[in-house]
Parts: sequence; structure tokens; C-alpha cells
Amino acid sequence: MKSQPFVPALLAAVFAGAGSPALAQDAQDGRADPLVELARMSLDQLAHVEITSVSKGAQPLSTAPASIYVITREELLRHGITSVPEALRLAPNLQITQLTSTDYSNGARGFGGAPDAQNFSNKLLILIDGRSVYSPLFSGVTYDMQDVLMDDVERIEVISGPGATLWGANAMNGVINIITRRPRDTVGSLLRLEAGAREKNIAARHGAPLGDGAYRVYAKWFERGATVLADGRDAGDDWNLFQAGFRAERTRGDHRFNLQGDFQRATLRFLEGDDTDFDGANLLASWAHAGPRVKTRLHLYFDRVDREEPPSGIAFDIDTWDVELQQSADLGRRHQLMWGLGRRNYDYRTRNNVLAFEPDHRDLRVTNLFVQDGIALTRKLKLTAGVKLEDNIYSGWEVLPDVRLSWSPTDSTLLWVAGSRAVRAPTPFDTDVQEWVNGMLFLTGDPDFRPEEVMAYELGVRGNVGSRFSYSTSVFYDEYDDLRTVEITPETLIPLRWGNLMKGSAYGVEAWATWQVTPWWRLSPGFRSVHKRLEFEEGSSQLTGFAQAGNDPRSSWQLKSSMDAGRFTIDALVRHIGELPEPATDAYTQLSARVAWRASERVEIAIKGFNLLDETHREYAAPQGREIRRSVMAEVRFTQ
Amino acid sequence: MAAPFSSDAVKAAYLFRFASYVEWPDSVKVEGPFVIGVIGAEDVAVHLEHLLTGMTVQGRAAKVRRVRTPDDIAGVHILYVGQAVFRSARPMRLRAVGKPILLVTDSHDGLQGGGVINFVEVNRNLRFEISLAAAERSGLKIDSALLAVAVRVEARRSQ
Repeated sequence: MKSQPFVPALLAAVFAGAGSPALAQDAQDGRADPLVELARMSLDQLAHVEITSVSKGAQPLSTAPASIYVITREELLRHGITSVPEALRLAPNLQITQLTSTDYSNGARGFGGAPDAQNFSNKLLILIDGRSVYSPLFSGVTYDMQDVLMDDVERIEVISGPGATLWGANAMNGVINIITRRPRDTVGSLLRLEAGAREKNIAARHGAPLGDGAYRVYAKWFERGATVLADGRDAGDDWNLFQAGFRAERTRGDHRFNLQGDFQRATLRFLEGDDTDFDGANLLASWAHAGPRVKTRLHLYFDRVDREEPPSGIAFDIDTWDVELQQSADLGRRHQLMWGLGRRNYDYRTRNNVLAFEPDHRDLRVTNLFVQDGIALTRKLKLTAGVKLEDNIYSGWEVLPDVRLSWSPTDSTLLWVAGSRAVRAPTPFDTDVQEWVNGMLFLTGDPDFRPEEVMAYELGVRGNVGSRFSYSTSVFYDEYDDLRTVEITPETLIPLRWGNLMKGSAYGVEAWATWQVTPWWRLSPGFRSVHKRLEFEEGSSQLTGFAQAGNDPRSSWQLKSSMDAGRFTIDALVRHIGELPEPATDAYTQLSARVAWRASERVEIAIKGFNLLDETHREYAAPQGREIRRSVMAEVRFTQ
Repeated sequence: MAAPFSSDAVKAAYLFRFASYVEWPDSVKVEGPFVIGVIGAEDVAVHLEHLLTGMTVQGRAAKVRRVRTPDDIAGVHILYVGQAVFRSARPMRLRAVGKPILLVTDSHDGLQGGGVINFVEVNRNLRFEISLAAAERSGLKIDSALLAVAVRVEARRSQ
């Protein structure tokens, strides 16, 4: 261990005069660092500090100059969340819409997609422990294929607004990072059982120390019930999924080695048709080194998905290889430099009939490099500027710059302003697709399809008032260009083809707060609103209207309540989603709630319900949206 | 501050602050540095090291010691047992019990496992519970100000 030098002890003796412990100041610039700030707090303040488990640095999230909401593990467990899309409803800056038993759409700042125009929610990127789960074939995220054991999630970071400089193309309107816990934090055994008329879950995990590190293994299985069709018939879209995986980590001095993997297999039904089956597997290895000034991280992963969907005539398998290197370094006292490069290969094959791809297989290569500098202009003013260059086989090199300026006039306030460019890169679905209807070519891709583009301007403020109230609010103005449209073939009308003939702007606001009303009661309201002004460019068919860019509500709000009462915890989420314009869907309000009783140190028993206000409700117009049923479950969680 | 901090940093801050609210028996020698031992929680140890640089605890220079074997415990004033190693550190916990050492644990059954103070996460806050029985066994006196902030105080065993 480090020996304690003589001089600091002497300094300590000088500072010790006041009777209370003397605190070190950052020797370089006299600014108190977050640790010192913590150590200065009264016990009562310390007891009310909001914690995350972001490792090292003790960096408060309030310094991130972006619209970021963090869903904590505590929040996931207390709300009894059982799936990734339901987890994302906890983020006030996302727009989650459940369409069917398996299918969800998701938007940030609008552009949640329009399923009836075959426009998926394709402007949000999701990563699980750094592994992209954005579909390279269709663009967007297939939510039924993404699952994690909520007990093992450390946090979910939800950033609305572009994140392309760090995360690349498709982080256009937002990026979602699902981060699982380090194995050393999941030592012990867990058994979780949940059962109700609509959903049954069983999950088990075991973790233990291993040499200089730790590991865990887990397995889970669930069955979710069907939704209801507009005519009152049961849609028969019940489904089940099995998933198992592991994560192991080893620490040697400043080096950290990590290996993790998952396997899943699922069967989805719909009416009397053939089942949809998919399976997936991934393996990720990473190495991280934390030197005194330079931090390095290297990861390599392989991911394979295989999906056969007879009702829609889609079948594909995709092999993904990804390697990425990142370094950050403190240069002098003012600069924090970050750079990285990465390469991803998607090798896919399609086996289709109704929805065909020509060619039916490709090897897509994406290469990127980025550099970013964080510059402390003064003690209170920080500039972050960066750019990513990303190459894809369709549109070539994209330049994705980002500039952010943040100012903290007081320790409890942060103002920030940002400007950035991001794109949604073309996929085979934009360029190669051929949809056949009754033996006729109905829709075809455009080989010259251009990336959808946004220039985003943001302004935000975040902070806290006293120790019981914190807030975050931001406004944005986005300029879009080359948005996807449906165009016609002159004279013959069909085949229809994709085009890039829509542009326009969107502006809006996102705001949320947390108010610790009493030591045992916390209230968290959230609000978001977006207004779009879109126009078609000359020569567009204007088919399917503006709504194809996203059938989004103008505004939505939510309110979360969290109470502690001895061994009981009581949590609830009320959400109100405004009406959707086209196809018109009524506004709705729904409630989910959970009451838990900690029977002993090892056993927790809970009852919980989702969509409690109505027997069934609809979040999107038929036929794409179905009636979602109320779901009530009992939950038992054993830990050892 | 309601802005989120890393839980490891908050733990380090607590470990540092606890010393001000605990009275060690006179038998504990007053020369030499004040030692906070850490088992199996490297990030907490790093934060503590950073924090203790140039600081005094009870008028003495303070230092962090990574405890790896039961023999490393000699001379430690506060001993923190990391969450991940609570079970495997049993031999070291047993060695600390009954000695004038403030044993701080971080586990569901920390107090049953000999902890005087045990960290618990409540509603995104890091709080702690205290066992007066364990404090008494170790000959430690705990200030009422610390008891007041604890989420739970396990009383002394009835006489």
C-alpha cells in the first residue's frame, strides 16, 4: 500500500485547527472535488445523497451536459418491472407504445415511428453492456428479442437528443445504455417467481467470488398472455422466452478482464397461424486498464440472431462481429481527451417470400473513429467538442460532430447548451427490400437512399434546491432533412419506392423532478412535449402523409410515487399519453402499482399490477395496435 | 445534494465521518496513524485514500490499509467488509469481533455477522443500521447523533 508521506500529515495538523476534520482541497485549482464535497456534508445530508454506482471518479451526474435520465436498479425492482420496454416507461423522456403482446414502439422527441406506414421507431439506439441491439437489417429495435434479469441491472441511462459523436449513427434522437451489475456486486443466490393470469416469470441467479474476481450465472423463463383484437376476439399472441447467461470478471492490479454471454430462445404465436420462433446468442470480452492519467478499454463481441416469422413472411439470421477501442487521458489541468475507433461487421442472410431482399444476403461493414476533448475553460465553464467519422457501405463516410458548453454558476446548478448532427444510416430495408403483393411487386427499396439527418440544438438546466428537490429540464429545436417517404412510379403507380423527400423541424420540452416530500415519501413528476412542422419536398407523392415520420402525441406526463412504511414499500406510476394524430388514437391514462413486504432479510413478497385502470386499453389504433389487458401478479423474491 | 454520486464514494465519505461519532476505549493506543481497513472493495479503498490524503481523524494522520488476511487486522480502528466478500471474509470478521474495532459491513445480514454498523440502500439513498450490542462487545461508544441518523438501531441485549 501507499505509505503516508510526512508532508500531508503536517498539512493536516495545520488544517485541523477548527476541531472538525480538515478537508483537502484539490491542490491544483483550489476547487473542491465531489469526494471532498461528500465528506463535508452533515450526516443527515449524506443520508439523503442520491447514489448511483458509476464506478470511480465519484462524478455527479449533474455534470453531464445532456438530457439524461437514469433509471436505477432500485427503481426497476420497486416498480416490479419484468421487461425492457416496460422498464423504459420509467424514463420521462421516452415515448413507449405497446402495440401487441410482443411489439412496442419507442420515440424520443417524437419520431416514434408509424407501424401502419412500415416506419419503425428507428431513431433510437439501444446498447446492452456496450453491445448494440439495433437491427442492421430493418433499422430500429426488436423489443421482444431484448431481455435482461432486472435484479442484475445496475442502471439504464436514457439520453434524449443526439449521441452520435460517442455512439455513432442511429443514436439520432437518443441513446439507451442498459448496464448490468459487475459480478462482484451480484454475489449470492436469487430466486424470483412471479405469477398472474397474464404473465408468469421464473428466474434464478447464482454469483460467487472467483479468484481475483467474481462470476454469476442466471437463467429465466417467462410466458406472457395474449392481447385482444378490435372485434373482441383473443389475438392469440401469447409468447414465451427462455434466456440464460453468465458474466465473469477478474481484476489484476489496474487491469480488469470481463467475459459475458447470453443465450435466448422464444416462441411467439398469433391466432391460428404458424408460430414465430427466434433465438439469439452473444459473447462479449473486454479488457479495461485504469492508469493514473490514461484509461483504456477494448471490447470484442459476437452476436447471432435467427428469426423466422411466418405471419409476415420474414426470416433472417445475422452474425455480428464488433471490436472497439477507447482511450481517455487527462492532458494537463484543462483537457480531458477521449478518442476511439471501432469496426463492426454484419453478415446477414434472409429467407423471405412476401418481404424479400435483393440481394438476399450481404456483409455490411461499419468503421468509425472519434475524438472528443473536454476543456475546463474556467472553474465553472466547460466546453466539450468532438466528432465521429463513420463509414457505412451505402452512404460512405458520415461526419457526426457535437459541441456542448456547460456552466455551473453554483454547486447545485448546471446550465448547458449543445449543437450536434446525427443521422439514421440506410439499411437493407431502405435499399434492397421488395414487397410482393398478389404476385406483383408492390414496394421496392431505393439503392440511392440517403441517411435521414438531424441538426439538433438543445438548452438545459438541472440542479437541486436544498437536499430534497432536484430537477432537470431542457428545450430542443431539431432540423430534419431527407426523412423517409413513400414515392410512386410514374404512370404505373406501383411499385412504390422509398424516397427521402420530407424535411422540417421539431421543437419541444422535457422536464422532470424528484421531490423527497418526507423521509419516507418521494414524488417524481415528468412531462414532455413535441411539435413537428414537416413538409414534403417538390416531386413527392405525399402518400401516407406526415404521420409516417412518427405518429406521436403532442404531450405526455407521468407521476411516480415511492413510499417506505417499515417493512413495506409502496410504489406507483401514473402515465398520461396524449392523442395520436394519424391514425387517430385516443389519449389514455394508466396506472401501475406494487406493494411489497420484506418478510425477512431473505424473502420479499409483493403484489403488483400493470395497466390497472381498465380491463383493456389501446395505445395505438387497430389493426397495428391491439387491446392490452390489465395484468396483476404476485411476486416472491428469495435472496441468499 | 440530490445529484447522484457513486455509492462507493458515499461509502468512503461515511467511513471517514463515522470516526467522529465513535469513542474508542482508552486502551487503544493513541500514537501512530488512524487506520481504516478495507476488505474486498478496491473502489472504496481508492476513494478513501484520496479523501484521507492530508486529513486528520481524531487529531491523527489517517491511512487506508487493504486487509487480506486476519493478521492484517492488528492496529485497525475501522474495518470495512465489502459487499462482495462478506461471506468469504468470515475469518477476518470473527477476528475483529469483540476487539475495539468498528466493524462496518455491507450485507443483508451484516449485523448478524458481527457488524457494528451495516450499510443499507434505501430508496436510492445509502443509509446504515447500528447494533448497540456489537458496539458494547467491542467497547465502543456511539454518539447519539449517529444513532439518530441510522435507519434502525438494534438494542443491547436485555440484561
